[in-house]
Amino acid sequence: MQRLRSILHLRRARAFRPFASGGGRIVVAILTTFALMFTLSVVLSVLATEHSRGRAKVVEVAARQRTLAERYVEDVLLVQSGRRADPQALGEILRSSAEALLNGGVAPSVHGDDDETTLPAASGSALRGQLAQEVRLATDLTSMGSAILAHRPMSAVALTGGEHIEAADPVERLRVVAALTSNTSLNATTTIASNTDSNIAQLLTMQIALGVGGLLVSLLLAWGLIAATRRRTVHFRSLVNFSTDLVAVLGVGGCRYASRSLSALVGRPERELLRAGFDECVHEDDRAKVHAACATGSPRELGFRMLNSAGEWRHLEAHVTDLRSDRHVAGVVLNARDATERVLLERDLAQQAERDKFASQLIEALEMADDENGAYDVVERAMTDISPQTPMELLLSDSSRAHLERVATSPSAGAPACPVQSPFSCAAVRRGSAVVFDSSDALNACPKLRDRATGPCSAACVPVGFMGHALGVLHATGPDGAPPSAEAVEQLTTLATQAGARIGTVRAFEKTQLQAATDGLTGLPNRRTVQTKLRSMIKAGHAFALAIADLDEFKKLNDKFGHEAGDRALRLFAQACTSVLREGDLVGRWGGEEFVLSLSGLDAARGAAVAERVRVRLSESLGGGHPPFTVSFGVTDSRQSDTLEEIVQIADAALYESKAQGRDRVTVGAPGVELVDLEPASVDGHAEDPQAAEGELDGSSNLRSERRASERSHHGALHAAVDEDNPAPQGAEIR
Amino acid sequence: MSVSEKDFHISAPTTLRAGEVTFTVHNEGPERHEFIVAHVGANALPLRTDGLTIDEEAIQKDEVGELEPGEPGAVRQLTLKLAPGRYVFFCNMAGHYLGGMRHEVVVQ
Repeated sequence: MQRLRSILHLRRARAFRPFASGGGRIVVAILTTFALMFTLSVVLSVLATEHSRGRAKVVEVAARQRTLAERYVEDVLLVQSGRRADPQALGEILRSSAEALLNGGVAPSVHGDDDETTLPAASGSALRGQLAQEVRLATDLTSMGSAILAHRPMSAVALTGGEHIEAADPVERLRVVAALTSNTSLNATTTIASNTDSNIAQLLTMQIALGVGGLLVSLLLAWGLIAATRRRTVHFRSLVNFSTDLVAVLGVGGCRYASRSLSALVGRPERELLRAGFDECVHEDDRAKVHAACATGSPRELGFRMLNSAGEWRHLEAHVTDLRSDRHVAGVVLNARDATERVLLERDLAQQAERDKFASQLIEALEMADDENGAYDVVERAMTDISPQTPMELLLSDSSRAHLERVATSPSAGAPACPVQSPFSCAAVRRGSAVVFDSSDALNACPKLRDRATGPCSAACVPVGFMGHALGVLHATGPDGAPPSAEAVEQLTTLATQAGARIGTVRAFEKTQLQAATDGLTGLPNRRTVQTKLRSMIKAGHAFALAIADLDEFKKLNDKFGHEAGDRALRLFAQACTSVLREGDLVGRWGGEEFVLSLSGLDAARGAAVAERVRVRLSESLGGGHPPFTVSFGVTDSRQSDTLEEIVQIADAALYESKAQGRDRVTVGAPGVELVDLEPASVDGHAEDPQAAEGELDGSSNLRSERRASERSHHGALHAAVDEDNPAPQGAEIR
Repeated sequence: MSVSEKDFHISAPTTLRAGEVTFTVHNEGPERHEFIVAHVGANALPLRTDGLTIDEEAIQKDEVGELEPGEPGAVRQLTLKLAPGRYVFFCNMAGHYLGGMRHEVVVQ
């Protein structure tokens, strides 16, 4: 049983051949069967007709025999009675005809009745028996007739047909034999006719058998054809219906077929997609394209969108096959697949690439900005890139981190002018992520968006930070209810992140640089900074006076009042310096309690005057319980040497002289010149009127001479020595 | 009882026992032949006016059994109840009786 079932199962599991070209062979077989049946039928009919035609002649001759036998007796009697007749000829015809009927040959003509007839030999033992008897009886008849006419005794006539006639009268005997002959002829004719009938009946049977057989074979073949076609249709339908390919046939009048997969995609039953239904689902912008493809069969590849029942646009990519000339299809076949995921992914990737490009360009631009202002400039240009119509601003906190100020504004659309004051009163900064407000009128909108002069608006606020520290906020506004797009917010976020990173980096860098160049205690440039600046001034040929200051008896101060007091003393001196110095002058901590002052554009004498003012300012600033201390200066100027080291050495030597002379004084030094300290009372005016001092240097030699004369009156020896060494126009040289 | 007919002779026994008899008639041909059984008296069977066939209407009451013309080769049966007497078996096709197809039988 199991075996039988498995065999049945095997038989059922035919090969899956949806595209087999079978059918044709079955159709040919059906046609061949019909042709064969038709040919056989025709051949049989022709043969039967041919046979019947011969049979008709045979019947005619056979039937004639009966008459001939009777006429023979009449003719014998007529001749006996002296009338004109020819029984001999008639007997010959009778006999010859009987022979011809039996064995085939020519049956002679009967004068006045018919023509010679060629007959086939008789077939069938019964008929041949009867015809042979007919021949014998005809022979007996003509023999008896001849004996009567020749008056021979009847007893001499041998009978061959088996007759046993008792009558003695010759004519009586002749009549009996004639009756037998006639009867035999009739029987033979009947047999021939019935043979013909049976032949026809056989023919009919054969025709019917052929017809029924042909019909059965054809029905079987047709059934096979239908089964094969149905199987293929089922195979094919299974392929089409369960294929993920979306198939539609578009022709005159719209859609002529939509596959199950397509109706599943669109979410509508197939009948709703037929005719104009398909078109209604196609995106308005793509309809012309689809119509053109249906009208021309090209392009071969077609992309279009269809609306599904969920209201989503699905992107379809279709292969177009032009079967308009195929009368079974009469349309253009679209084999499509749903490419929505890929299209969206590509779009995402393109957007991502665009964002990446924006980000990388932004990063490059920001890297090239070497200070905050440069970075702000980049931010402004990026704002225009993101959206030229959107008002935007960058609000950053100052160094105190307490106040926000606007550092960048969209050049094309202006600033939204957010009134936020401090970073932490901004919702976006507090939250640490971008915030989008659809409408300033909404309950959950940022209160700072309300009551703006431009009316209700939407906004996107993106915090700007660096290393986790809030720096400020990037603020953009849009029309009420239409906030900046997600893409724009994304770009704003990129801008905020990158600008924050750059600005934070720049700020950190500046701070680091400042720390490296500054003395932490006093806030003044350190020794290296001062050296670098002075060297560059020397190299550039800028003249300056150089003063070295040293706090007097600083160690004692430290020892007596502690380091706190020492540090405070250093800071006080630094403040005294910066309060006196002009812009362009420089004061730095040289090390320990030593400071260097560079006084731009001044010679040593003027420098000494400035140093004196510092000394005085320091002494004036002391008070408020700070232990008193003084400072000593050594001054020279850049004319004295080409190298900083030598200039410093000269100033150092002058400082040493100040110390040696009792401290709290200014001494001008020059190479190989006796050092003279300036009396405190003799210096005035320099810092109060730096321009005047400049003017003096720039001014006429007369004025300079006058000043020199005045100085000489106080410090005769020094100035004399200076003048001796560098007679003519020192100012000009300095310059 | 077997009876054989052929051109132009009937072979059968000449005496029979009275009662029911089944004749098995073989037509050995070549002609078609009838098989007629008639009771006869002293007289011969009467001929029709054609002089060639027995007048069957005249002997209708004496005719006890008949088989219509049978094809050569055919074997047919005829069952009769025969009373004692003289009977003739014959074929009445034209000329056959006179041609020799008659056979007298005595039933006892």
